[in-house]
Amino acid sequence: MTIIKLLLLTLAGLLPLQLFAQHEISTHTPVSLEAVNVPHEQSLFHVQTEWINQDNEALVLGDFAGQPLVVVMFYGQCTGTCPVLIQRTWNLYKQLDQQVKEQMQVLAVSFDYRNDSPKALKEYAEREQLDIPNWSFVTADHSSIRELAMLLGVQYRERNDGHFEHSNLITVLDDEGKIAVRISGLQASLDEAVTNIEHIAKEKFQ
Amino acid sequence: MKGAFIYIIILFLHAFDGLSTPPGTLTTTMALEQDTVSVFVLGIHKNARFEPATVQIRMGDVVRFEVKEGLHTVTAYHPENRRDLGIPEGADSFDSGILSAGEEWFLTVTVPGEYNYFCLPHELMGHKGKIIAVSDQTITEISN
Repeated sequence: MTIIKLLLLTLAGLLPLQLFAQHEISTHTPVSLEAVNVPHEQSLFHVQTEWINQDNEALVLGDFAGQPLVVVMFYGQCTGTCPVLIQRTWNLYKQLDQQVKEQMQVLAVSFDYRNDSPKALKEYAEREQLDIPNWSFVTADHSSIRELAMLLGVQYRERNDGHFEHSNLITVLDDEGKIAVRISGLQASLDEAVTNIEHIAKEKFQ
Repeated sequence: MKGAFIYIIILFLHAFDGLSTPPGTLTTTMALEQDTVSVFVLGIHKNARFEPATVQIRMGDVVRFEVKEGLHTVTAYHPENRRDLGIPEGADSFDSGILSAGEEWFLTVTVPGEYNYFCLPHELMGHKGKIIAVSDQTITEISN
């Protein structure tokens, strides 16, 4: 009888541990938000926000005028879909001709204005072997990040645990800063974006 | 009374189910008579893992990755994936893309050697695996 009581008490002690474990797991379940439709006629190169890249250099979107620009929003501490989103952006980039690669830019904008400092973005870029020419990892103040997200149709919200729920969207802007192609989700074909970037680059530079 | 005692023992053992093998422990399976080897992709966040973490196969065998929970990838250590080469020279790079619970992804290899791979979202948490492909009919035991 004493043994049974002991076992019951042990089980009662384990129950909260089991519940805690389930709670911890549930808080890290990645949730993707759908990208929303946005007008394509407006040039994003008019946005005056000053971004700071991984080399602590200031830049504005207008600096990229005259060439295709791929924009992706992510955050460095993501253990959900961002690493796949960055990988897809890389897959898009590596499919381009070398000449086209040199005539376009990639801008990775972090949602995480608290943690993704230029130093943190530098470390991220180096770790991901993406600290390369034509790739910029940038941050800005919260309202500027929110403004760009709205213009792109990217939804995001910060959770209590410091992680973000967000849309998975790669956007190609043309040489005038207008949205040319949007690749929503993590499985859609990249072909249209590749074709479009090559078309813009060749028309511009031939 | 005896039945209740056994029931409590079963409950007690169940409470520890899944805790006996710490995450990241290297386990090994052998593919002797089979042509398909299964690797289960388990866990989310810190407990994400491939089980077994290491498999030994013969050339021509198929490795079937079955995702049980969470979002994962099966991605080769290869410059194509912006990582140092961790698969045999001349072997094709691979990347499953995003896989969710219930999905399967199959891999066949054509060059013998060690294939190191990882999960993009959980690489920093040690979510990595290895395939050892041998051309020989004789499969030797892997020592951990």
